[in-house]
Amino acid sequence: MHKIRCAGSSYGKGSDSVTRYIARRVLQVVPVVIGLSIVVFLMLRLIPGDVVDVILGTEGAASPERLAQLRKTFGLDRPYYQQYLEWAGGIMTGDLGRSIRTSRPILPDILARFPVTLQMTGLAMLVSLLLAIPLGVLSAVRRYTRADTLVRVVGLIGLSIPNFWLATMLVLFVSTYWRGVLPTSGYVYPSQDLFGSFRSVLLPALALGAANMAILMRMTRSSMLEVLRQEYVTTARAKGLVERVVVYRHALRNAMIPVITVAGLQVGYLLGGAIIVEQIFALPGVGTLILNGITQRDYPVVQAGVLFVATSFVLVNLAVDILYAFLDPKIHYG
Amino acid sequence: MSDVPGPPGHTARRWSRRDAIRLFTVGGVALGLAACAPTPPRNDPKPTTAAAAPPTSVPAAAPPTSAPAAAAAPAATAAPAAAKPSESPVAAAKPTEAAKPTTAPATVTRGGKLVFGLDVNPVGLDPATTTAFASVQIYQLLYMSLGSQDYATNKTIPDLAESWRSVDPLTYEYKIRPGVRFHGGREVTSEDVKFSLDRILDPKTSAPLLSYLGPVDQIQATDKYTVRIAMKETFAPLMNVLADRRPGSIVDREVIEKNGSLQNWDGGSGPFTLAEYTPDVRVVLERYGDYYEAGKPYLDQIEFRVIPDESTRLAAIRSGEVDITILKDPKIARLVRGDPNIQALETPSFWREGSPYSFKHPQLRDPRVRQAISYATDRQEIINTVLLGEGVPTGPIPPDETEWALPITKENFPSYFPDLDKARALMKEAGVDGFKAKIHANTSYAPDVPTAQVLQAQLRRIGIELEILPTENAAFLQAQREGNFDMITGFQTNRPDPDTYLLIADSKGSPNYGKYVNPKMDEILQLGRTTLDNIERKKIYQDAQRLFDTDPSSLFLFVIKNYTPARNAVKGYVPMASGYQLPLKDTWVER
Repeated sequence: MHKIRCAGSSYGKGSDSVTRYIARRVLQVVPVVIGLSIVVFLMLRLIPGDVVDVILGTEGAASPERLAQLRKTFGLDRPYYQQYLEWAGGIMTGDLGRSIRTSRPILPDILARFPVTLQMTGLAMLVSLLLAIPLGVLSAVRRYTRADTLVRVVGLIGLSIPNFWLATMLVLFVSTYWRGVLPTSGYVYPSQDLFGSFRSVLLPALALGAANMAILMRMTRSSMLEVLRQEYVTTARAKGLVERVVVYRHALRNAMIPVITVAGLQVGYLLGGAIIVEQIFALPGVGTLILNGITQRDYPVVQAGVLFVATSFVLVNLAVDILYAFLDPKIHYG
Repeated sequence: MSDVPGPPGHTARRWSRRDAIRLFTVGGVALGLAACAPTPPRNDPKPTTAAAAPPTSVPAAAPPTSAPAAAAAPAATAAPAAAKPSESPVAAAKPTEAAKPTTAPATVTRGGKLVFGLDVNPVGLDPATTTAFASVQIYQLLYMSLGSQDYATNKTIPDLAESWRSVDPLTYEYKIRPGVRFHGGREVTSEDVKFSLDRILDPKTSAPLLSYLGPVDQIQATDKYTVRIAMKETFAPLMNVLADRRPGSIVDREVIEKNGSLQNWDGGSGPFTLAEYTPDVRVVLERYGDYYEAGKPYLDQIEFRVIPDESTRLAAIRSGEVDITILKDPKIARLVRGDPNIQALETPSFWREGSPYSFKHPQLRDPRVRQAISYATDRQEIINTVLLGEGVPTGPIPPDETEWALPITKENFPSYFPDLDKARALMKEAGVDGFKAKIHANTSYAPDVPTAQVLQAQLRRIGIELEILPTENAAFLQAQREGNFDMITGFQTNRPDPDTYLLIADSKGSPNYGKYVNPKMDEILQLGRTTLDNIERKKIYQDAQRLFDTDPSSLFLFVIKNYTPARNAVKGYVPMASGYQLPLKDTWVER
């Protein structure tokens, strides 16, 4: 990702420069996405295993003629560049193709599943920010107290626990001791039951967000410590401001800049982590779609799914870049 | 991009930071709401292009059959007659056991919904093209085939065909049950049988189990309820194969013509209809009111809920989120046994763990070396270590295929009883002082890698060094098909006929991955294929199985158990060794 301290004076100023900056950043997304599509396409074909083998299973008769015929049916007998160009051409016209395994069109499936992933990762991010920022501030302000130690230990634990393990433990714990309090599998659509939908993604969001929370908390703490040492904070204190105002109005906003950058980058990790967490909680998100696609070697599904998620990641970072620049009064666009 | 701070005093910006923060806050909330807004991507199996078209002809709109009860009555009574050999000169390829009159127990509760926790997402529902097990478990409740399987014995029993006989060694005749209707309402006739089987035989369909139908020459619908299948050569497995829903499902031509395939559609005449298919979430089946067996099925609805994680399925059955589920790992399956709310339903399965030997490997070509490996392998030790004792040693045909399997005794399979001295002597006789071999272990099935590890320790005792290569499923299947292995550990089942099981040792058999060749084996298998008398056939396959001891094509180890724990409310369900879910037709719930 690009660092964002992009500034200069050679271009126009004010909103004009903002527009130029945004336009340029958006244009930069294009080669990134093209590069991504090539990498995804090739990587899938480099891993051993073939959709035809998965279709035939262990029982299917796999004479060379049958294999060749199946490959031909799916268009896999053509050279890679032809397959790629056809796929890329389809994307240009909004056609992501059809699944080899289920013969379903892919785009509607992705569009239906992405909100599920977004809801879970969004909640994970929200919960981690809501916990991480107050705890991080507390930890920084009360440095070297018991509260600080406790927060740091919790943070270290959060960082060290893999999300798949935490997810499994949550499932087993809730199903054993808190039966019926929260569902441990499956998804409820908001259109069916809004509160039920929130409940169905709460446990997965906690499992997914734990490490993220720890990272953001540590980031908030160290960033706050740095800011609190600065002269303007001393000045604020010297002019007699209440400590609460110094911390929350003056220090925190500046301390948030690196936290937001990290939070933006963490979106990528959350989307990656979603694959395994969705699997454990049986959520029908994009992660499940991609994972099943990989095990089935359903190339078009994986290509489309990964491209979609990666593009979202690129866009989130674009948004963070812009937000970050707005937050920091020292940053200008050019 | 530059990293240079802006010029000093630069303040002329019309977008304030506060504006930006407001914008992002509002945007974020809007995005959040958008995320919460979608309607479920439920695929009430409708075509994606023609949104308004109903999935299949809607069952509710189906005209009532004139007499479902009348159709059901012969089902119970005519079936035993069907089991009798016909008057034809050759013994008929007869159903080995008649359909038992399925009179409902007096206490049965009709109606209600059952939730089934499925371990794998079904990738599609077209019987002709999809053999993935999760799919099979569902579509076998949507379709009927000429025959079906007895839940306890797994023998072939009548289903859509009331009776069958062989007119001559090359011609089979099937009598279709009158009055059976597709879910769309149209009566199933011999033309539909012809269409369904021709569809499998058509290379354009790309049916994975095409070869199971053997040397079919021609299928003829001789009258409305009679089908004749002419073979190029005698083919005894035919009836067992046609009783398997994968190659044998009888499908509604109209549904296929309308939708192109049955992957997302229901073209069956079975006890349930397809109400919803949402990949990775659920498949919902509803009771088919015009099913030919009066009063069946008992359940109004079955929801197959996809829960891929084993621990989550355990949690779901414990908490009652699901009524029945599938567990694979014996360590996890044990955890439900003490639960007073759960019936731990289990049965030995047809899933056989074993390893074909590669004939490319110089030492493994020698039958004495392969026999030595069998003598050096302590199967019970593997079962105890890997499956906590919950498995059964198996030969080429799983022991629960009671009709065909040769029992594992010292007389039948001497090399299955560990004898290190004998193993070393055989190695010496073969002039082999020990060697290295690679063993691919499929990482997608929990027991495969540990099995390879125990085997590695056991074979070290006779100087064989196994290098374990843990391999992901698709890569494993590819290595297996291409014969790029020395040994493997992986599960396999080859239902529904002894011939399909033993094809692994047929020099021309497509699942003969190691390229094993033994002309005597080929001869015996060919004889089995062309012998119509079941008693005679049984003897032939017993000879074949004995040959696996002296000249083994594969190292057979054990069969695992099928664990299908059910809540106490579930009644009438019996787990089948095949793992098929046909008994859901006879299941009810008492809440």
